[in-house]
Amino acid sequence: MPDHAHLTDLEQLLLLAVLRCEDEAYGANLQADIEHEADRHVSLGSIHMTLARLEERGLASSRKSAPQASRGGKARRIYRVTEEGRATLEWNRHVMNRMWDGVPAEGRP
Amino acid sequence: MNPLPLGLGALLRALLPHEFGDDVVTELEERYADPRLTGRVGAALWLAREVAMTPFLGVRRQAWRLRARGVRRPEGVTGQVGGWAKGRLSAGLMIALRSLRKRPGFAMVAILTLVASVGASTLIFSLFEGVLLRPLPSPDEDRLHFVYGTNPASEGSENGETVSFDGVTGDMIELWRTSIPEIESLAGYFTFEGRWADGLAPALSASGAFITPGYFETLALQPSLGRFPTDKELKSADGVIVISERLWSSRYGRDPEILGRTVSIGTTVFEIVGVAPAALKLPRESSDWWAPIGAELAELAGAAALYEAVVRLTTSADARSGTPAAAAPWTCAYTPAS
Repeated sequence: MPDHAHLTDLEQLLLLAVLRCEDEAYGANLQADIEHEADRHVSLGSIHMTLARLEERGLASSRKSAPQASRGGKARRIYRVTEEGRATLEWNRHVMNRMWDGVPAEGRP
Repeated sequence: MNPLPLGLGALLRALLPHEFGDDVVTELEERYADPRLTGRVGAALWLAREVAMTPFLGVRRQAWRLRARGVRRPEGVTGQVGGWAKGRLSAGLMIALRSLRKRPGFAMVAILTLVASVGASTLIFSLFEGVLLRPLPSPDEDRLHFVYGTNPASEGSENGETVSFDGVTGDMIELWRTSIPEIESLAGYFTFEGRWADGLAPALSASGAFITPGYFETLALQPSLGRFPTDKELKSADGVIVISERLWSSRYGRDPEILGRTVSIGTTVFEIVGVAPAALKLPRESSDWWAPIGAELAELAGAAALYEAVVRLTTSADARSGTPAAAAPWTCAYTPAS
């Protein structure tokens, strides 16, 4: 993997949340998932901005859902992780694992 | 879903990149209405936190775009993208605020002067632009009207009341166009938003309209570039499309070679044949393309009230009379398009 495949922690969290939420991967759901599982509050603006950047890099894609009655007939933007996004995510995990492997046992949490 | 207070929705839409500003505001509105936010105070606190944590500052947006274009931050500057620009801005802002606080009299005079001069400039330019610069969007605009259907004999009517319908069918359009002498031309359209793919990044979601033959003839506008589709092309769905001047500017840098370029909306491929003038804001101000409805959709829309419709009346027609000669079973009524 080239250097530009590095992901920030927020990018990794978001891609993982998108994978976890599957067909319900829209902003508010992703926000709730990250808040619940990672104990971190990320604003909706940050979520959409980061995902837009990942879309630009080809690591995520989005589509509009059917219009939702609960939001006045507006559609939701549903995200998904592309194959390249998933591979990049795996590669980042692999890098972290490799780094951990070199840490002496007493240094581990 | 509740609108955000204090015009916050419009402000956020203006500050956030258009690619996702609307999504953010819509989701904020949805969450803001969530009863689990324990009342008005809880909702307000939640909203304040969301907005405070939203990276909507222009410098942030700018930094993102600079990075997308490969522009590097200055040497020796570390931190997040946008940090160096934001740091300089916030330092300058702090100095300015401190200076103003130390000299409140001067600050008040400066602010009032600024307010008065900006207001006066805006007023003068608005008058200048409205009276002298802005062209009439369409010749004889008072002859343009929206059309809707009424049916006194419908099953839904009670006590002989007339029932109105916003949407009209393809069959109604055809019937009225051929049978009402006051109508010079009549066209239908319906809005559609789809993924606009043209090989450029980022892909965008563009709103536009599928139109019937006679649309451009009814509006009597001239293209800014290229041509409008012919009625033959509009009938046969030859895969031609007209784009808005805004899209032409923002997406293609007003490239005169845009004509002939192919784009796709969903799975349908179109060739750009013209650029509409900025005055064309029908069906929506945000409309960015106009394409033929195509035979399949037209057949479907024949009996379904999918269309909105616009009509150009003959000069002799008294538009304010409301209902012209009946064309049973549907009667056509007008409302001014201005």
